[in-house]
Amino acid sequence: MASELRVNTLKDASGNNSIATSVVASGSAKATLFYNQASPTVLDSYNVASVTDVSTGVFDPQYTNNMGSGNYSCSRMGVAVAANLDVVSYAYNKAAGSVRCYNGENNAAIDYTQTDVVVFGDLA
Amino acid sequence: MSKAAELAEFGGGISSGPNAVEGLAKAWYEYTTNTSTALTKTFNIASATDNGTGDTSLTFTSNMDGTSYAATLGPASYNTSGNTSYSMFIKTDQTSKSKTASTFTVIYAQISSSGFLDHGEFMGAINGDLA
Repeated sequence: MASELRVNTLKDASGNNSIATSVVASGSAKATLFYNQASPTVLDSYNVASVTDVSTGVFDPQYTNNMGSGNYSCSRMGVAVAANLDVVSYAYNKAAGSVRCYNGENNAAIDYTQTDVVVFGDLA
Repeated sequence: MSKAAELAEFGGGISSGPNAVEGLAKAWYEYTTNTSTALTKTFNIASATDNGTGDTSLTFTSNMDGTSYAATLGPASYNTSGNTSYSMFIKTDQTSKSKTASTFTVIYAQISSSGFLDHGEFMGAINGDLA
């Protein structure tokens, strides 16, 4: 049977690296995705059940365990195809069960072979 | 007092050493500047200060230990049609950083005109060491 620890503060074996368990709970990423949309293939993920390939440059990670609401933080990154200056990766249409992600270069959507999603917030 | 060098899930499926503390986000945020500047969901962010259009300073509840920490952003587009001519970044200049242990500033700008813009939704996270 799994056990349950109830503590307010965690420290390492030397008594250093003190951290409140509230920081552990709130500061842990609630979902991560490393994705190749060109394939498309999920290269690595946490709390992502599937990814819907919506259209060129647009995809929706679907959470395994939903967020508490559509209010949360989602950081994005993409590895550009060329050394373009006009590059963007962002998220919008956030919902408790998914988030819409976009990658573009020079005002055109593009399928990246390496793109990242990191979600912080409160699970349902 | 018990001290553990490693935390392990029952059954040994997941283990984590003290470095896990370093990897935790120490703050994250979602806020808007659309009609007025307002925090909508945060962790360890006490307040947002409107410095002007597209220019917002966020203040930590519990400070970082210095000015060297990582700030990742959830960049925003001006709209959902794929416009890429906009940029979201942490305020700094070529020779020094503007981040302090207690606050940092997020800028949202139109690349082509160098003009700052407000937006309905900004997101990001902070990694580093708390004071």
